[in-house]
Formats: sequence, C-alpha cells, structure tokens
Amino acid sequence: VEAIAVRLTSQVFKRVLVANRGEIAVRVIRACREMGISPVAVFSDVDAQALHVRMADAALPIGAAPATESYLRIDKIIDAARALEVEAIHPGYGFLAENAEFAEACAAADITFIGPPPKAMRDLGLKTEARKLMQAAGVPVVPGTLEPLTTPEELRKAADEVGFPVALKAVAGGGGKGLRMVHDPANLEAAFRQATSEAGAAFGDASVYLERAIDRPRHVEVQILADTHGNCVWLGERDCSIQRRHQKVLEESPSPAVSQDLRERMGEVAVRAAQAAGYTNAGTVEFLLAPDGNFYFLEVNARLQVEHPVTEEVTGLDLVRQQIRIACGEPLGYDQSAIQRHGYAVECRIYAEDAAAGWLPSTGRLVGYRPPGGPGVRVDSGVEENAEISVYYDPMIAKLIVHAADRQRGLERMARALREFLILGVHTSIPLHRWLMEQPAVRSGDVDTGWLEREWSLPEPDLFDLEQAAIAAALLLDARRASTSATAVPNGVDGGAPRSAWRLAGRRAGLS
Amino acid sequence: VPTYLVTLDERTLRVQVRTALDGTYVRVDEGPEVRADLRSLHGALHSLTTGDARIEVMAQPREQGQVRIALRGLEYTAEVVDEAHARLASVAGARVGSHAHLELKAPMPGLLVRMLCKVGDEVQPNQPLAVLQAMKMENELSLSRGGKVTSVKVEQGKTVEQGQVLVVVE
Repeated sequence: VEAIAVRLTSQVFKRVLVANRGEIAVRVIRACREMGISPVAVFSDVDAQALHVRMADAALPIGAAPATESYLRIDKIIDAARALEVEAIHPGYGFLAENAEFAEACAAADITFIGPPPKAMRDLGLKTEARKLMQAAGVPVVPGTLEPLTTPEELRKAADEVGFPVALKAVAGGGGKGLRMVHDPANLEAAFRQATSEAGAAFGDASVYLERAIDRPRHVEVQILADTHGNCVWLGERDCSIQRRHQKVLEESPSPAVSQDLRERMGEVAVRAAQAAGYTNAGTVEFLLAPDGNFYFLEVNARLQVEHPVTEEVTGLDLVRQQIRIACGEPLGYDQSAIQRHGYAVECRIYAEDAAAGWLPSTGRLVGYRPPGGPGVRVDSGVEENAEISVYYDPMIAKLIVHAADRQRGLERMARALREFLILGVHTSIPLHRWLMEQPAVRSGDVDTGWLEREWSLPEPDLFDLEQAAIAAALLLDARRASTSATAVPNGVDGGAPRSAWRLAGRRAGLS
Repeated sequence: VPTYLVTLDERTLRVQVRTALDGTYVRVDEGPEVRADLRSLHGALHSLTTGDARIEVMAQPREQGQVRIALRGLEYTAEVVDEAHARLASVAGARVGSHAHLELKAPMPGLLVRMLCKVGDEVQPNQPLAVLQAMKMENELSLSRGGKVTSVKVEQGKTVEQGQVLVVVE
C-alpha cells in the first residue's frame, strides 16, 4: 500500500539535498544534474568554498568544522532541507547514511530519505539480530552465538562449542572496532574485556558476540538493488580482500576467486538476505569467502558504498540514479536477466596518509594536483588544486577507478594511471598502490584479508626517481640562489663565480 | 661549480650544477654529466629533462632549503644544502645533511599519551616509539629505519604541535 501511495504521489524529485561532503557529495550532485534535478548542499565552516558547495544550485551552512557540530547534526540538516524546500535527501556514505533516526526524522519532516527503510536499517545494524534474520532466511552465517554474551561462563561455553580460533565482535557495529581474534583459549577473557570496552567506546553499546574465526578469508560483497514493489536484483560481486586494519584499500570486480557458479549462488543469497530484511534501495551484502569455497554472511551495508563505481563500470548502471529512481517509487523496470557485466574494474582509494609514519593521516594544502585521464580512467574526487586536507574529515583525496577488458589489462591500466597521478602537498597512498600493482600475489589474485598486513613493507625507492627528484630540487634552489645573489650584489662581485646575465634571464624565463 | 647535497628519503645525493653557454649540466654523485632543464609549466608543475629522459615533476620550494617534490606518484621532501656551507658546518661540529639522523615528528597536533622509548634504546624499523592521540584515535608513531635513541624531546601527557620533533634516532 505504501508503495502504491508513493507511486501515485511522486514524480521525479525537483530538488534534492545532499547531506554530505567531499567526493560522494560531488558524485550525487552529478547524478542529480543528469536527471534534471536541482542539487543543493550543506556545508561546515571549513567547507564554505568546497567543490561540492560550488557545484550545487544552493547551499546552507550547518555549523562548525567538527562533524558532530555539522554533518552529524540531524536537526540542522532537516532545518536546511526545509529552508531549501527539497523533496528528498541523499545521505551519501558515512556521517548519517546508516542512522535510522535520521531516516525517521526525514520521514517526519515529509522528506524522502534516499536509502532503505529505517526498520531494515535498525534490524541490520545489530549484528546478532541480523544473524538471526539471515539464519532464518537460509543465508549461511559463520557458526557462533546468536545472542550477545554477558558472563565469562557463557563466553567460555560458546567458545568451546564453536572451537578455536574464535572472533569476538561488537553487536552494534563493524569496521573492525571491537573485533578481537582469539587463537589461545587462555587469552579469551582478556580479549573479551578489550572487545567490550572498545565496542562501548565506539558504539555506545558494549555488547559483543562470538563467531568461529575463518582462516585466511577473502572479503567478497554483492551489490543489490531493490525497489519498493518487491523487485530485487544482484549486480555482481566486488572483491575487497586487500585491506589494512579492516579498511578496504583496493576493490575489484569480478573477483579473481569467484566462478560463474559461485557468483550466481552468492547473488541469489544476497537477494534472499535483502528480502528477509525488507530492504529497499541500493545495498551491499558482505560475505567472507573461505579458502574451501564456502561463504558466510558478514553484514549488510545499508547505503551506497565507497566502492560502488567498480560495479557501475562493469554493469554500466548509474547506481545513484537507480537510488533516486527507487526512492521516487519507480519500479526497477528490469529483471535479473537484463543485468550484464562487461570486462573488469578496479578502484584504488587515494588517501592523504604517510606510509613511512605508520599510515597516519597527512594534512595540508594540495599545492599541486594533477589527476590521470585517458581511456577507461575515472577519478571521483571532491578536491581540486589548493584544497585543504584537514584533520576534521576522512582523509580520502580521490578514488581512482579503471575499467578494461580483463583483469591483467585493468591492472596495467591502473599502474599507468597511478604513475600519471601527481599530488604535491600531502603524503598519499599512491606509493602503496604502485607497490600493490607490482606484487605477484596481486597479479595472480591470490590474496586474503590479512595479506596486505603480512606482506607490506616500505618499498625501496627507485634510484632513477630519487636522482630525478634530487636534480629537480638542486636546479630549483640553484636558480633561486642565482636570482637572489644577483639582486644582492648587482655587479656580480660576490667572491665566487660570476653569474652571467643570460643565465639569469634563462632562469627567469624557465622557472619563475 | 655549485654543488648541492640533496637529502631525500633518508639518502643524500651530491648534485653538481654547471652552467655553460649552451645550457645547464648536472652530475649526480660519480655519474656522468648530463644536460638538464627544469621548466615551470603552471603552479607547482614542472617538466624536467635530464639527458634523454623527460619527466613531469611537481616541485615547491619551502623554507630553509627544503623542496617538496612529487613525481610518478611519489612525494618527497628534499633538503638541499650547498656543499661548501655543509663543509663549513661540519668543521664547526654540526651535522652534515641528515644522513643517519632521524627525527620522529608529530604528523598532526595532538596529545602525546605514551612515550614508548627512552634515550639509549636500540629501536627497530617501524617499532612504535610514541602514541599520539589525535582525531579521536590513538596513533602509534614509528620511523621506517631503526637506530639508537639519542634524544626524547617531549614528555608523556603533553600536547604537541604538528611537525614538533618528539624523538631523535641516530
């Protein structure tokens, strides 16, 4: 009934607020523009001149730089949405994207939330609830407890039943927070205390549950689209096994470890999982793929994901457009047989971080920024030259995505694009990605979620590169010195070699 | 011939820059002398030609002989000193370049919650030396090369500025 009502009352939106910043805000604004929808934005104090604000038709300030005072403020965003007279809000990813309270606040303000229904968000947000839901729907889950653990006796009993090694996980969240792997039974209780305190600090909910630890799994996730009329399709998998501290570093599709038969089985299970949760809009069902070929439900990401362009490139579908259409109440208009995948796509997340300093975020101004281009290369970014990478937000500079006929050519193209990418002013993860492209295990696709942390070491710099950098630095300073000494000592009588006038002229022409 | 000691990525290269009527020539360490040309294109973007090789470089001079350089997706901060000055400084007892001298600097402002090393410790590459709380996270700070801790500059529990030296390792 709700679905029919939506269909009868809504045409495509005229105006949509993007409640986010950075590359994803830019991405959503572009989709709106292509659909003839007027995109509008909100911004924090430090983002007043940001790219997403400049690209929007209108924008309102929502507070100070810290996200808790701006991009996480439901009240201010709803006020801005009302003032800007929007019909819908796209939350992007991160910030409020998986916050059921925000989705409910939108509904209360008679604004469409472009995302899943709040009930599905709540059910899927609690891991133990999601596991129960999935088990009941016949979706394979990792053996473990279906209820949060409270006492050491329960913990011990559950661990003995499941068998070591075990993983302790936070009920309220993901992203590796509150996660502890326990190999030795003697460490169980200490790990439980750590996991509980970390989960409490991160999510305001200290409860944890236990799963059997899968040895050397791959992370394989399936993108789904579900409309409000009961149609649901899967678009294929993304392999995100190359991770560091449970954060994805590189995502690719198709997965080098997934056969067509496995792909279809995972796709069907993903659709079943979405339907069991009453899910609509775009979503991702994450699985752990064990070396024996069994796969297990991990969680549903109830939002558009960072790595969605990988799926867009292989399917040719614009996922943001699909999200907006679904939120308008339109039926998908195609079924599973219409979904085709072509070639191979891979994404490298270019972060402002310093590998040599333990991967700390690297902040500063982008003094130089020259992204790559050419066939099959896509750069999704929210910055331009002179943008500031601040301490307040996620330090992602850009997503570099390439599409090619097959995996080998895709990785060659990525290596080429990484080499073209020039960024000056902050340290970036480009050296890591260039290193990845050279690793035999990456080339052959033989990786698991722990591979990067086991194998990574700071690469020895290329001597030719170092020499070129040294020459450039020496020439630059030599030219500067030549021009300053000429100003200070007009006759060139500085006790050293005289500097000829042509040289200064040449320097000025070439360098100043 | 002006000669520069360029330290980048913990290595020092000696670059001679000779200006002749037909252009500028450079020589790195004991290598051959080749013609070199650095052209400013726009902003920080430069085109560098050395001998037959061409490469795009982003470069920006900073204070005190530092140059930020990006090429082929890599970024360095090069410290450039005139060899003649370096020799004088060396006679006066100061260090030459920063060859074996490593500084652990705070990469961002924050609270130094733990100092994990003390003067005299032999530390391994990538060994955590201090824990800095910033952006609501505890970040372990380490250096990519090991050595002996010669100085600990900040006490535990103090707030530090971005770029402040915390530990010196030689």
